Amino acid sequence: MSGDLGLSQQDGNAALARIKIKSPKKILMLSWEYPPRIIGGISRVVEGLSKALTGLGLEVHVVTNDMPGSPAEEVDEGVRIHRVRVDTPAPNFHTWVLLMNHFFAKRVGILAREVGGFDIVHVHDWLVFPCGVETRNFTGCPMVSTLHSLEYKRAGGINSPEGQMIESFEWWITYDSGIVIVCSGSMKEDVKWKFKVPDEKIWVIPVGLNKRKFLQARPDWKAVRSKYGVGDNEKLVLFVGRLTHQKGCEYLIRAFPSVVKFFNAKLVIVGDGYQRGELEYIALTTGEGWRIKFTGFLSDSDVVDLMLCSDLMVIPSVYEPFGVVALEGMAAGIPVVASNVDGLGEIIKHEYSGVLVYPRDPSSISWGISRVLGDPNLARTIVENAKREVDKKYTWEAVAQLTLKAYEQTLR
Amino acid sequence: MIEEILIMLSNLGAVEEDRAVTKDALNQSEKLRGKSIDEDVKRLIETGYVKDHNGRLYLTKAGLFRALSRFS
Repeated sequence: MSGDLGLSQQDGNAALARIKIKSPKKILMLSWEYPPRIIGGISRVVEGLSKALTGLGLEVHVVTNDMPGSPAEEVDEGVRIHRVRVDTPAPNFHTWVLLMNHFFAKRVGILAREVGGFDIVHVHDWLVFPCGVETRNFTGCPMVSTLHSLEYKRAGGINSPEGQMIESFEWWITYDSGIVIVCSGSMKEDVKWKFKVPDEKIWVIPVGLNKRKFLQARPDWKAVRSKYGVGDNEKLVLFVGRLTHQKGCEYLIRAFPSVVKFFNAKLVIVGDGYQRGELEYIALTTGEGWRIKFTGFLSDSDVVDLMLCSDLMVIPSVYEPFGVVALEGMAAGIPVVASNVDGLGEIIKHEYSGVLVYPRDPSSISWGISRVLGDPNLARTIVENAKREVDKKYTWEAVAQLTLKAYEQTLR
Repeated sequence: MIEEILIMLSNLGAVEEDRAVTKDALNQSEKLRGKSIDEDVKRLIETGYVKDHNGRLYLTKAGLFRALSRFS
């Protein structure tokens, strides 16, 4: 695989000389997803960070997977996006990941020659780590990695050879990277405990939020709600996320019958995933299935419209390293009820900028929803405080400044 | 088996019309070998996750996102 990078020892030496510079100019981002390919949270994080770094004057290249209908090469708000197609069929997902890294490495090799190398390669999660290591080894640029989540928590344990492979990659990332970036204090503690990483090697840099989409949208409140079967006199409770065990949607569905005893409400579930069939079945068994609507994946603009027209958003995750959807709800001006886990417990202050509930506990979730729907004054206060928190702490500019410091530290 | 079919289509690169694969190609994969997938494929087409192009199958965007949802 390494030969595909097509770089000579001379190229490597020249790149090594660049390590002496104090501030990076050219960044290579590696990510398996980038809009419009939005599988999970990584896509939006890489987009937001790349655009903000470009705003600071850096040249940012993103090498990512292709997406049918999207151009192979594109410049978006200054970010140079290079979409790579995995041209070889694979017998299973993990082999496919390694092939993807192979095709990424080929593209990176050509790109490195075209632009004269990179100052930093920034790897986003285990999925693109092999290409990150190759890039570092053959161009000489230091590697910074962001761990967006950990397999043992995402999958509820390491239960298969595939899980072992992912966890090994995660350890390898922490070992081989100059700096490891995580998005929350709880994630830092997890990484320290799991992989025995020194404290000073892990930087906590939160995720930012682009508020523009919420400020620009002008949805027709009545029409949006009606589209999802919610009447004017009904409360719209919203869930947005992948339908996987990690997101805990089943606990919200089980909580909903207790909510509708006291409030005329509908639950709109936005997203898709391997758990969808099971969740639809659980919804039917509650006896309130007619009040629960599954929309599947929606476009970004449809999700924004729904958020702006909802009465409340619930994030019942059992594991959430950060929880960017919480920031989105806060920015949209709707009260957020969330599990008190990991990053969510750091973003939201209970009954100040949201309501925190126990994870995996339908009665606690039901209490949280009722607490907000039953007290409009509390709901208003929470929304005002939450908007202030988002403005103060979670801008992409601040995230980019911190990330730049992490790059500079790596280059020392 | 629904999820296995979706993931296998993604592994095979069947994410657009000109990369569609036959049911036989799906049936050759380790997890689906020897299993009857006709009913599940029909359901996936009805629910918009998979498209049939002249007897060859490929993932829609919704199908691709669902297939990969457990890995992000």
